[in-house]
Amino acid sequence: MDSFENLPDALLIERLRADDLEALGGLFDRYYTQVYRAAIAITQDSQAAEDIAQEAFLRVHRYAERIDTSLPLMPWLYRVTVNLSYTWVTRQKKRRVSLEDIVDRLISPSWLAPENLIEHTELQRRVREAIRDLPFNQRVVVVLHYLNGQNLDEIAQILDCPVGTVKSRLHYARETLRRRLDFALWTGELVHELA
Amino acid sequence: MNWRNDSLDQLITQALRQNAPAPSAAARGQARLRLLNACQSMYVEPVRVSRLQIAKRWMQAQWREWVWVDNSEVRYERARLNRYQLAHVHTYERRIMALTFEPMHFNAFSAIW
Repeated sequence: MDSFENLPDALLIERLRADDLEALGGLFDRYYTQVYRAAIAITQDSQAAEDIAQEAFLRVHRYAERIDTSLPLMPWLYRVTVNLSYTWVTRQKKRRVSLEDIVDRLISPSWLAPENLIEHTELQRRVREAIRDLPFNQRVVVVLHYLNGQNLDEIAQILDCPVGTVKSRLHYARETLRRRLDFALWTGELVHELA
Repeated sequence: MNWRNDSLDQLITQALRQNAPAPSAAARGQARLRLLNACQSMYVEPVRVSRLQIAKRWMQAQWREWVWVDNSEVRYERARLNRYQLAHVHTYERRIMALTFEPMHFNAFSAIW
């Protein structure tokens, strides 16, 4: 496993093409955390994020022949992650939430995971809710930019759209977030937080 | 009060980081194992047999003369199939490719035939 650490992505993909699954393990070790964190930030669901991350790496395996090894793998992985997250988010919207679903969610292990038991500050809860309520296209740009530290050019490459579009989505997202937080302040809901 | 750009940026970054924690080493290990198992199952018996069985059933059902099975691949004489028949074969191929790799999917799928 350790021997893969210094090998470039292209070489690992070449090995994967020759059915060397340990090479896929090497790519997994290198990128899983980024993929998982992007997925959980977009979906805000840890189980969905695990599934999405797994499917993203399964696609690396399935489409190894088609991956352009002259390009870095990470943007490709992010693109797959965003597409899978989009599918999940749109399915969730369509799905009718039943009482059983809510109960399932409340008692599910992911809900009880330690990271979910951390007491978030009111302000961060507000920010998280505001990000969750952003249109999908804006939410993705926010996650890639703020969480994954991608610049506008990189995001444009991942989403396969012009840089201007990324810039405008980021602008509108920030304005929306700013307005939401201003409103919360104005109504006094966050006054204790900032005192 | 208005949010300054840098404080807003900082707030967004913090909120995202806190709500998107890195997976634990144990969770990563499990996910890695699950991934590699899933990939290995693509090459071993269940899938190969499933595809072969589905293909045989298909062949027996309709395209006896023109479709046959060879090493789990379905082969057919394209020229001898009309557009309607070809569309069916393509649909069938897509369905097989869309199958995931657990036997239960095969069972569910085979019930259609």
